[in-house]
Amino acid sequence: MKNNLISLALGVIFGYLLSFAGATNFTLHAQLFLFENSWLVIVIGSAVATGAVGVYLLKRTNTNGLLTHTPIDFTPKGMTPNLIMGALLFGIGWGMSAACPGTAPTMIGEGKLEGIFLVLGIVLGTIAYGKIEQSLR
Amino acid sequence: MNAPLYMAAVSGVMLGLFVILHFYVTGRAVGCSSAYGNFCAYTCNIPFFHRGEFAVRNHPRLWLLFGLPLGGFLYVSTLGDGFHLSFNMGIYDAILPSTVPAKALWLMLAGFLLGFGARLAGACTTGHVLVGGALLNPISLMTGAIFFVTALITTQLLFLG
Repeated sequence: MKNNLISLALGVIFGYLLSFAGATNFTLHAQLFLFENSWLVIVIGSAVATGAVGVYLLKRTNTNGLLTHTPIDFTPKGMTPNLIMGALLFGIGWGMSAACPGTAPTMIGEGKLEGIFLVLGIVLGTIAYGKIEQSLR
Repeated sequence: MNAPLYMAAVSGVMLGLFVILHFYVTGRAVGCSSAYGNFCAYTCNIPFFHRGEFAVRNHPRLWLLFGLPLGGFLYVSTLGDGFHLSFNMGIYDAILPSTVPAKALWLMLAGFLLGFGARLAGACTTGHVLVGGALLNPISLMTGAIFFVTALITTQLLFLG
């Protein structure tokens, strides 16, 4: 239960930061992809650069997880047979809606009703994957 | 966003610090799209959602997902311009279907592609871009690039007219 509540708190922080960073702002996404505004490029670039330095330091210092007291799991995502197809579909969804699975629920808390339909769609898409997953292997 | 551009860098650095904080506190990477699988475990009996990474149904990452709207609400209530309901997509409204049911259907279709595509690709923008980028993982960097270029082409086509 403690771990769940801590993750809830981390989710609150993440949602707050996504809103703060403008990641839930539809127009900013359109302007990003139309080369009209560099805001989100700067957000993503500085986030990745900061994260890379932090991961390097955590690895360098052999820091254990605060809750787990075991080495932090830095296993990177591996290649899957349908990764490229999945990335293409995901990108189309991103371009259609200016949203992703993290920003859509955040939008709901901001009062953006779009988030409700997006989350519903993401759940349905996830269920559809679960249904056909056997046949993909 | 009328804020000066350096605020974009400030918020990006804070997101990067969050990725590190999540690694440090929980001992694992932050993720969003896989939490939808845990949610599905409560709503359907499909075996995929009851084994492997979803074997533990009540996983902390599902709680993280529930924290997101609270964070969004806190932001608009503090630094943002207050909580109010809206169904307004900014400059997208000029090119998307104008009736509410059609726009809702459009969003659900987009969501479907995001959910389905994220499972096929193994992660979403959080897992592949924020975390994968921080890990300098070549596969994630490639996936993030495909996300980005495909979204770019889609947006360019949408706004072509």
